[in-house]
Amino acid sequence: MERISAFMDGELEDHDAAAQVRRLKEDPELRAAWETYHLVGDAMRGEAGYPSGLAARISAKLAAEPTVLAPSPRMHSRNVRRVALSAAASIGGVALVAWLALFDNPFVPQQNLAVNQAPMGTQTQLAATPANGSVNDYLLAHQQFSPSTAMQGVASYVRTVSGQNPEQR
Amino acid sequence: MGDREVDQQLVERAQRGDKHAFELLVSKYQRKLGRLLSRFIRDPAEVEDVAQEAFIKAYRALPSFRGDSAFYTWLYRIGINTAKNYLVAMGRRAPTTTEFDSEEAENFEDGDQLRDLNTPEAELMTRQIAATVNQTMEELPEELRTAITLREIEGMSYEDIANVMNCPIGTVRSRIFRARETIADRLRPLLDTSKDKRW
Amino acid sequence: MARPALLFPALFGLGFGAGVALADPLQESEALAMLQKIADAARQLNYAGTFVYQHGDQVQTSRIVHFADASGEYEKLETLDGPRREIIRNNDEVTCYYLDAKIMRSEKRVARRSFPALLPDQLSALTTYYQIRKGDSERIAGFDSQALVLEPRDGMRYGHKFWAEANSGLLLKARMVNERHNVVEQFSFTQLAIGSGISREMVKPSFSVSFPEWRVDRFAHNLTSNVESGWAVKNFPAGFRKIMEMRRSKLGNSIPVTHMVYSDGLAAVSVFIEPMANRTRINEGLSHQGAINIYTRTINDQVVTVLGEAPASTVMQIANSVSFHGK
Repeated sequence: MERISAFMDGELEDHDAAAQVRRLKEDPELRAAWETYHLVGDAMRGEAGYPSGLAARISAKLAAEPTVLAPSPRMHSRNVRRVALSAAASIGGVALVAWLALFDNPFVPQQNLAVNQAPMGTQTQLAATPANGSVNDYLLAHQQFSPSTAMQGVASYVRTVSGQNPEQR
Repeated sequence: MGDREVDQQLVERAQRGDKHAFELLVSKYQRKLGRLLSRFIRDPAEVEDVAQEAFIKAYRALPSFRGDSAFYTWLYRIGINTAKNYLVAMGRRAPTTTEFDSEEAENFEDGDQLRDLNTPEAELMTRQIAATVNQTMEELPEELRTAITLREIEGMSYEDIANVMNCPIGTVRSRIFRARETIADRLRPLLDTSKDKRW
Repeated sequence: MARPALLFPALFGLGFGAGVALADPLQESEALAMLQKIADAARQLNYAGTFVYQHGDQVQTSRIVHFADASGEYEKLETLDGPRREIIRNNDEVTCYYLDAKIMRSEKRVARRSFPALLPDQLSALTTYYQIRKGDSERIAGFDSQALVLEPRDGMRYGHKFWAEANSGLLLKARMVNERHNVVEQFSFTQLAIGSGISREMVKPSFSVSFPEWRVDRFAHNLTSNVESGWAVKNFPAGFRKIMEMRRSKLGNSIPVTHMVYSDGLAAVSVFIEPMANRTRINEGLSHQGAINIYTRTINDQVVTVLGEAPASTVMQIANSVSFHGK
């Protein structure tokens, strides 16, 4: 059960995580734990909602659905970690901007502005908030030098505290 | 962040034919999607119908999800489209904006109002769940409470929590688990009586 | 906290579209005067209000109070939804309080004549890289405003639109757009009071901090500015120039971090360089916090983190051209 807790936080090694998914498939008690642990998190954030039969109904419907099979994903699960652009790819700075411009949604959550294939075939992924202790310090340190702070005062710091780990909410 | 990697792993398994992996994602995001939809659809029963439809559509669309964005971002879009189509099909006016401005933000219902739309039983259940969680949190030993707060509210990684709490990562992992188990334990009696069946 | 407020795509980013006659570009001096007026108002006025900050599909409502008197400048930012956070500024020091987690992070700013002033010599180059013009007047939070549009001439920076209160120049609304005229972030007051009824009390924290309950994280414990760190950015985008270089160290950690700031007058990008040994987790590559793009890479045994309110390509270009030329 402790593994499930670590797994849902994304804190297991890949091979371990794969094992957990299998265990979850086989053991109803573990699945219940997964569901309850997520409820705990939601409740802490004020999103308790109420237990409806929704998940069960969807489960039933899914059983009737033809199984989906996608061709091998472009990114292997190993590569979910972000990969740095090679120095050669950095010359393609202009090409990068052009690539981003292909996403035509006017108001797009920035997660969507991912570069799936940088030039030279390396991969970079725009991930969600870093939530890294050092980076938080950097963000705070940066804000004092931002001209937006000159124009808005401390209100501009809302950038550094807004939407951290947006997927949690 | 770790969260996204979990979703990615589950999506990839689902794409390879493992429906259970998709069910885990449903389990994780059902409430969040429900909240989103209830901003456009008042009737809780209809919200459930539309949520169900959105999840099924997402399942069918899985082959086209390539991980360019986070899974929930993608699901959120499907949810919005499903809600919009539903409203149009019902002959109701779908909310439109051509440009976001501050007034729009104020028109959105505060999450608290959601409770008024529930059945009395559901509303009571929500309150009881929230109260139980809060109560248990208060009774937790301080280091367990801090660990789970940093994880669930602040969204910090185990490593960052370890730095802040000045303890090994293994301890962080164990504290978070113990906090979750303690709260889950208190919730189980509540949940058992409300659910007819487990999945 | 993630309330998706935008239901349908915005058709206009900065408010341009077919058929809209473009106003003549502003004289540079007039544009600079407007920007300076906005900066002065932010510093000098007493005001309190509620604003909405939006980026991507996230909406964040917050409260801001600004109070200035002979003893100095004080500000308080308080998030009204999601995790409870407060940012309190007391003249030189800015502290961020994470109330639910009971953590505080504080940051002493580099002593300067005034809290970051817009640098006049930065601004003089502004029209080289942005086309500046006036926009329509609008009513925002009950005030009449004048809009100022800054459209970038290249893809290395974001476009901006500012709405300043007609009389005082206080910024009421601000929007940042990318090359495709997608709105990257927007800030807008929904309720505002200027001048009267603001007191020193209103900028104090809403809670009491009692150690050891609270964990303190202090960055920049020792600040040494205007140093020659030996690091340089070989290839920064046109219009950007280095405005600050310093060394800073974290409480309890003696190895200093090099911090350089590049700015084109409107956008700033920070470069942080520290030994890998300082960091336990390094997420290389691209990520973001709201409208701020972040790019991390390693050079030998050093970690370089570049972040700022500029397009990803700008941040990456700067990071990829960081090099050390020795001391």
